[in-house]
Amino acid sequence: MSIKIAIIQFPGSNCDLDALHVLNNVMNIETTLVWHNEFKGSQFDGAILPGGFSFGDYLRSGIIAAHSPAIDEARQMLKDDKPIIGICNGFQILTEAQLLPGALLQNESLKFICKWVKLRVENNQTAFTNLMSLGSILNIPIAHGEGRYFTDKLKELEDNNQIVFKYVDNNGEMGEYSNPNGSLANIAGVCDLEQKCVGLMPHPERASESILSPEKTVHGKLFFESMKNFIEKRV
Amino acid sequence: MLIKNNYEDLSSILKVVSYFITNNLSYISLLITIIMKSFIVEIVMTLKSAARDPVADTIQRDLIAKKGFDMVSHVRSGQYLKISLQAEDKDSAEQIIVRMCNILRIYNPVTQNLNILKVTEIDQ
Repeated sequence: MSIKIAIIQFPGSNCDLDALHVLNNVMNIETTLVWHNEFKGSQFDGAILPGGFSFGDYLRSGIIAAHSPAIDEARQMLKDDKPIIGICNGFQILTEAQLLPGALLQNESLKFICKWVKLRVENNQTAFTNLMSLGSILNIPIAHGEGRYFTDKLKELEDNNQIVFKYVDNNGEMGEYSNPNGSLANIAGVCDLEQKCVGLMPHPERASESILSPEKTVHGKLFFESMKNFIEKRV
Repeated sequence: MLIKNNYEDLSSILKVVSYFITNNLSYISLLITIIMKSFIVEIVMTLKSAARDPVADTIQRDLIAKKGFDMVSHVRSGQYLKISLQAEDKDSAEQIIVRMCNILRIYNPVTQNLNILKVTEIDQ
């Protein structure tokens, strides 16, 4: 079967074309860019909220985009068992829209951080991690100024298995220098209770071709392969 | 017969009233503007104490403490908005803004507290 994925564009999105390239040309998944006001979830099997600076990040990153009609469509898609991933600014939008728990605050260093990090897979049951091994380490780059994950319900997230990725060091441990932005409990990505909606600060679309990766890894592809796997198994 | 007449009377009164309203909308809105007063509501959103505030920590550590103001023990930063609106009175102006901030998540209740700094009535 052929699946159709949408990349929702907001004013200020700037990782939309990277995601489009990877899905269309690397993953061979039929993918289209859709302007947020025109997005209709019923026409797609899944959606990606890309990185960038939607609405200039005014007030708080993601808050204005969280009021877009595209978010109502996304909410309905999740009810219809369709997977949604928010990458970087997309993650911030999903938390502000309360589709994902918690919030993203300014990095503890107050600096914009752009570098490759290591992520440990904490939950491999989600729509975007089902082909990953639990505890495996992924090389994925980050590029953000507001990525410090915060929640006042950490215990609840742990109990519900909603923490999907944690920042770790080369040995897979949460060492002193493995947390790039001061995130609570080293959290890099979370999911909703149904595990169909995932958000993370790192950029899998920038880690899907070996030519772009310092260690020649393509761990980003696992996200989109998992998504495809989830959609095909669901049908 | 009498009841029917009453209904007819009521219906004709309603027709007259609706005709009056539709033809005098601009006067009615002017009247509402006269009744309503102008207010400025100033709000500040600060990070909850459980969330670290590196902006404030930097101001405190790298400026205030270094320049000898040892009596300053703690700083928290925040976002400030000054909002002009029409309302009946001060209380309702504040209530409207609090309701708006909650509905639109102008502040994020996960990370921030909302504080109403001041409500000021403005002379028309």
